[in-house]
Amino acid sequence: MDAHGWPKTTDVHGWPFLIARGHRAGYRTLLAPAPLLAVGDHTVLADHVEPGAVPDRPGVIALTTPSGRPISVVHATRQVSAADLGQADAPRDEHGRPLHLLYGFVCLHARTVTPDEADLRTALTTALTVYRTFLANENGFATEAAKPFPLRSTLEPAAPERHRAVARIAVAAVVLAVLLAGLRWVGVPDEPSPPGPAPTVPADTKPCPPGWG
Amino acid sequence: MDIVLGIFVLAGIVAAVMAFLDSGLPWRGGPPPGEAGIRAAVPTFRVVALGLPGSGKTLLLASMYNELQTPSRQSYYLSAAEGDVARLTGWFAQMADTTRADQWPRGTFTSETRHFSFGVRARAGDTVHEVLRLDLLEYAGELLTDAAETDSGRRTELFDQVRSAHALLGIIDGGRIRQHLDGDPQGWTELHRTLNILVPHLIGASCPVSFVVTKWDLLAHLHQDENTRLALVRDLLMSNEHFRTLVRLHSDRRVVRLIPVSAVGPGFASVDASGHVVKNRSAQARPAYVDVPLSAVVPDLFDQAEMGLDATLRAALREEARHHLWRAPLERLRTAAMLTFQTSGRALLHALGSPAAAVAGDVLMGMFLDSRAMIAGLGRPGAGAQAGEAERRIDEFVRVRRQVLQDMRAKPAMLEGRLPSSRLPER
Ligand SMILES: Nc1nc2c(ncn2[C@@H]2O[C@H](COP(=O)(O)OP(=O)(O)O)[C@@H](O)[C@H]2O)c(=O)[nH]1
Repeated sequence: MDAHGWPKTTDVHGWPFLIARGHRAGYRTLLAPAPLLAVGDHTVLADHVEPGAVPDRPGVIALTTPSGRPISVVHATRQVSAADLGQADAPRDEHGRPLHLLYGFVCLHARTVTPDEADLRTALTTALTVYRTFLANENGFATEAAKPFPLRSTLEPAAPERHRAVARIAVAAVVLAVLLAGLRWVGVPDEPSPPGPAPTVPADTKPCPPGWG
Repeated sequence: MDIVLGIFVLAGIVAAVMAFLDSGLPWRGGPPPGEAGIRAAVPTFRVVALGLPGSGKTLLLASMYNELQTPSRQSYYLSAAEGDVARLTGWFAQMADTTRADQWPRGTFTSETRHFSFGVRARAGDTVHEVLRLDLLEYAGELLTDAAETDSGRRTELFDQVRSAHALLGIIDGGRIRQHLDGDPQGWTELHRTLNILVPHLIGASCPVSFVVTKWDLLAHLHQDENTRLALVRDLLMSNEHFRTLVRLHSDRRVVRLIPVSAVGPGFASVDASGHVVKNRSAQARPAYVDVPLSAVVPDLFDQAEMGLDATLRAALREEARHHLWRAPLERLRTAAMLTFQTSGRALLHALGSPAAAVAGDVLMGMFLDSRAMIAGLGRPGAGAQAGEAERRIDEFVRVRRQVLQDMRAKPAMLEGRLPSSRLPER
């Protein structure tokens, strides 16, 4: 664990989550990874994880929490069946609409995840247990803190850092070019300036076209 | 040193230009004549429907689109992005399918917050003109109610939209009214909760506010005369102090409507023993009044702005509208822009409220003048034989726009004619 209570980047655990509505109570996060819940970062799930069209088919999304943590989310959507709740009829909300679960698991660091179905099933089992508890007392229910489970899914470290670095350098180069063009336009360095230190230009950025700056 | 000075000068110029662009000043330098001028004259009006989960927002949106997707009962029709069309027609099909009595589209998840951007189009000969755009926000009603997730970025997005809306719709669930009238105390509790949540958002709004009573079909048994039925609902709502106050504060300077709508139409659904809405197998969806709330947006915005002006300024604008008609098409674009700098024009833009600044002032002014001339029943000459192609195109566009505005105005007017109780308070 690091200083914030987060596991190390090499951690291979998944944290189940569940977003659903009840018969009366509206959609809310019913189950969220404990480290996200502790700092209010769990809202990123309800805000950004969108339901899928095909039942129980996993989707993967990379998100950044409000406090700036990168996470990967494996998610699926399912209409709650009578069997899910061990009852005779398919449950509906008070308006007569079917009930749906948006469930899955979170990897607490940015990763490239190839989900294993067994992990999604584990997350669903936990989600359904929590959902039944919620349905029994919709108003009194408070979001549950999920515990981690070991994953079978394949996790690879994401490689966005290099991309980000390149993007930063590109932005810096554009800003520099605009500044130089602007300086020329306002006519500041009309005469040759005294020699100064040569500007550092990143190796992989293209030189400006002739006539610029 | 010179370089540092240069950077400061440059930064100053950039900041000044940005501030100028941000200021929303109407003047943008005249667009070139013809197509570019037409495209620049297509404003977007933002509408937000505020309603609790399950109040009928999604089905109203789907049904409204279904009604207005062809120009069958008016000159205009709505166009939307392919993905949005698929979503809207999917919801409508699921709703209208009576082979599954209990199949309704599921509730909207918070993450499904989405802007539906509709182009309001009309045809003139072979040319289709887009006259304006209407932007509607679809969101989960939980964002208005659920205190558990107060930090949701979606909630911030919703309230930002509410603040910058050109029109707000307060959605009142007709199913709750039915529940109350059936003697279920939950109905009354939920109605009060709805008003207590909606009214604070609506009371401070400077844009037009309408109330929409959804699931109107479920109230058919209330009285056989539809206007009496609506009057009964109005009286019920007026018994809530917050609602009454809002209507009193708003109605002297703006239009406040009470629009009954049914996404499915009479006889399509009923309430079963457990209180669920179920479809009747042999019924067909025949939506009622679902096109009115959106059609009323632009006419109400203009009427409200005019009502906010004193008699002298109103007269000056009416006079301007009369002259406006006789100007050549390009001249009309230019004078509309110039008018935004004159006292009457500035007062009008001010009366249109701060959100209206997001629509270029000259465009708004041109539409306003056209709509006033139309109300006054003034006819307009054609572009003339000597007019160039660009002028003829602009002239055609303006004609189409006038027709669209006229047809939009006709919808709430028809409702008022049929159901006088739809104007709050009743005249
Ligand atoms: N009878 C009837 N029921 C409706 C109508 N509109 C919605 N409903 C019912 O109300 C439920 C909730 O509507 P929906 O549009 O999903 O609500 P939203 O959560 O506000 O988007 C639907 O599933 C229907 O059962 C209507 O016009 N007539």
